[in-house]
Amino acid sequence: MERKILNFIELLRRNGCRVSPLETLDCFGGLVHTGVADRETFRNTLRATLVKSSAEAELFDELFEVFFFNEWGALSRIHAAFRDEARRGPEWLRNLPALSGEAPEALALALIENDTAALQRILAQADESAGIDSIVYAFQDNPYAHRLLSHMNWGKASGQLERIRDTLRRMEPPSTARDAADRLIRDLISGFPETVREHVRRRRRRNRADALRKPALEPLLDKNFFTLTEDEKRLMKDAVKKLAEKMKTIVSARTRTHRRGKLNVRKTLRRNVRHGGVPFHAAFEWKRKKKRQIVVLCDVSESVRYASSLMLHFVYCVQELFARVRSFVFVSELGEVTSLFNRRDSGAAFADVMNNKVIAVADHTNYGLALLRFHERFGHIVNKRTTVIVLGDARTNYADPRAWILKDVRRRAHGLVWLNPESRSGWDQDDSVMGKYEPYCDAVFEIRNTRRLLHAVSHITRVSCRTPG
Amino acid sequence: MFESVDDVADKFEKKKYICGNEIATAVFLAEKMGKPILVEGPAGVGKTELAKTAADVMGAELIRLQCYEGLDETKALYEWEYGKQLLYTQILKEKIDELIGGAETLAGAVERISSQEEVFFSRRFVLPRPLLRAITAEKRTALLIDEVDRADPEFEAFLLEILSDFQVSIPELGTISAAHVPFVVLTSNNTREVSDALKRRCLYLFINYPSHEQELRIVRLKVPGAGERLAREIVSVVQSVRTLDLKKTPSISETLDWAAALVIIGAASLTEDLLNSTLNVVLKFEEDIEEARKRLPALLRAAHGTENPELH
Repeated sequence: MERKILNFIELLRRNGCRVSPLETLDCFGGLVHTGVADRETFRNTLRATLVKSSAEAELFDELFEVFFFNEWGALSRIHAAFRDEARRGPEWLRNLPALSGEAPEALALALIENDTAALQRILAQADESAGIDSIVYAFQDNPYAHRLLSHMNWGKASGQLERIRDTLRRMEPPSTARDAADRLIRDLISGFPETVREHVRRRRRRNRADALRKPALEPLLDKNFFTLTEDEKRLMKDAVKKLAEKMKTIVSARTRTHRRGKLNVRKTLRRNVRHGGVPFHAAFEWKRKKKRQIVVLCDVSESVRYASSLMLHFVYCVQELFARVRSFVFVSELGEVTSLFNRRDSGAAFADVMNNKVIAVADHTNYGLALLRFHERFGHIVNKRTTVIVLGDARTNYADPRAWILKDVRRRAHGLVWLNPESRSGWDQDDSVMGKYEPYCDAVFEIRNTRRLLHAVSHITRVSCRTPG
Repeated sequence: MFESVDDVADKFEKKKYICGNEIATAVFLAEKMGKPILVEGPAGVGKTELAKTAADVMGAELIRLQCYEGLDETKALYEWEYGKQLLYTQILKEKIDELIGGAETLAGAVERISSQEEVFFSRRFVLPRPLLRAITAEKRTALLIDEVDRADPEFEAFLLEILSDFQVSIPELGTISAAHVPFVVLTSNNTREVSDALKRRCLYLFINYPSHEQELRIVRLKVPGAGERLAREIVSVVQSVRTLDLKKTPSISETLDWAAALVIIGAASLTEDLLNSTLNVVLKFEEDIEEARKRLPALLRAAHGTENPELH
């Protein structure tokens, strides 16, 4: 059992659930008290000690079902119906194997006596000889089940069981005991192959979970957005989100230190009246929290399509984490997506953006025009507490870049940061006008991979929570 | 204390708290292993109630620490009672004069006073706050640290120290260890991720909305005035309402409020009018009520049918 639990923990880890050695110890420590007899309690003990969040709990439930399964449940139920009869009935009912008139086959014997330990042993041997560890696909279920049954000599065992039934049927006179025994054997003959098939199905699912070894995050962080597969992007999204959450904690810690201000004399005096005016408890003025605001402009045009899902995801995370965020997407026209992102989950929101629900995404990119639109319609929302973030490659199809707008925005904002998914060597080549915009940015980052993005995020959080000067 | 997991469930039920095997196992383990439980889940599913009931069952005093932003050690652990110290120095003025009377120099007087320092920094002048009270209590206590996610990360680090050793060091007094390890329940509404280190110190329990059958048992137990038919209908409707896309999903407390309200009105069964006029007990936002109104017939079918159809 210990081995099995350790294997299960290993499986959890491989599927992205962090289980520390301490938790493993806790788990065994807990089982000392609750035992392994009751499945439900056993499961909840493991759950309470190994799992640390609701997301992990879901994963745990799924894997537990695959991993710990009472394979003999169905057979035990068949036996349960027979048990009373066997206790009350005549002597021969308790020695059914003898009815076949031959030396009983191990499997047949174990089935009739409901000896799960022996059944387990036989099954494990068959698993090994049939090489069940390599089953992966559903279409392999039947061939594998056949192979297992033949390794267990099921043909011989079932023959023996049939002969017992023959003997039973020839018994005179008919009795309830005889019918019950006959029913038992009949159900075992049909039930056992089904149990084996179920076993194969579960092993296949478990092999799949085993194979679900998460690709290591580290190398992916350095991989260019351009070459990430969809699966890898999904993985990256989690990483981005986790990091963003950590950032938030850091930010909240940092803003608080600014909050203690001057001594509030009135309040201090009032509070210390009971000490005869001796100021034991000082009361401070609390600096009013200066609400930060972030404005994000995200390019969703054809030329950055390879990175846009991650960039949009980044915008989405930012909006989720910070209280006051206005998000915009643009190609040549500009559209606000703040409320869309608030209302819908990320997948649905991105689909809406890409299906032209906000702006025409197939247009030719025109940074100048998009900036102009922003300036006309939303220029007033930028003030000294605003950090503006632009995500895009600054490829504007040789249209007027209108860099003066950026200059004006910078003048009014607390900070302006540009994140460019293209590598620096491509800037100012062809229709890229990054060089025109760069002078007006407080910081410019090339974010061709996730590590760079994370780096940029940490910079932004630092900038956007510094007290405005 | 508890003999088995089922024993926990029985004892809790006697105190009118219905809990499934999951909750019972966590409580049983926490009690046996002396570990805190971290309870997460939506608001109003009985996280705080769990601690109260556990205290009640164990016959322990419940000490509650409500967390909030800015909570610090002086509010959570202990504070020197300045006022009392001041009062004592005033009353003992003569005695103090006497003590330092013979001193020639200022330095000498300070020397004499400081030799008496421990009188003023003794247990007598410590004002214990919830954490210290839980640790120093003569009998075993139940400590509820409510909404730990609202406190600052620094406070979490500080909790960590106490929850792993159950001892506190006060510089002037030395280390105080717990005579009885308290039964600790921490709750979190998940507004912020609680740190991994703290989670590792705790057993984890996620309480979700109850199943149909469980909620029905809770209603029967807590609002005995509601007839069997009414109780069934109420639970069916609430369960269906939870599948809607709402701002605030109704929790058990809302179910119970609603049941109590309907009993007062004297309803024996739900009608469309009744449902319409009492929706505001279950739902707390105008938009949510609008959303539910649009689906009144479906909700009513859910109430009167045996099955519990999803409304989407």
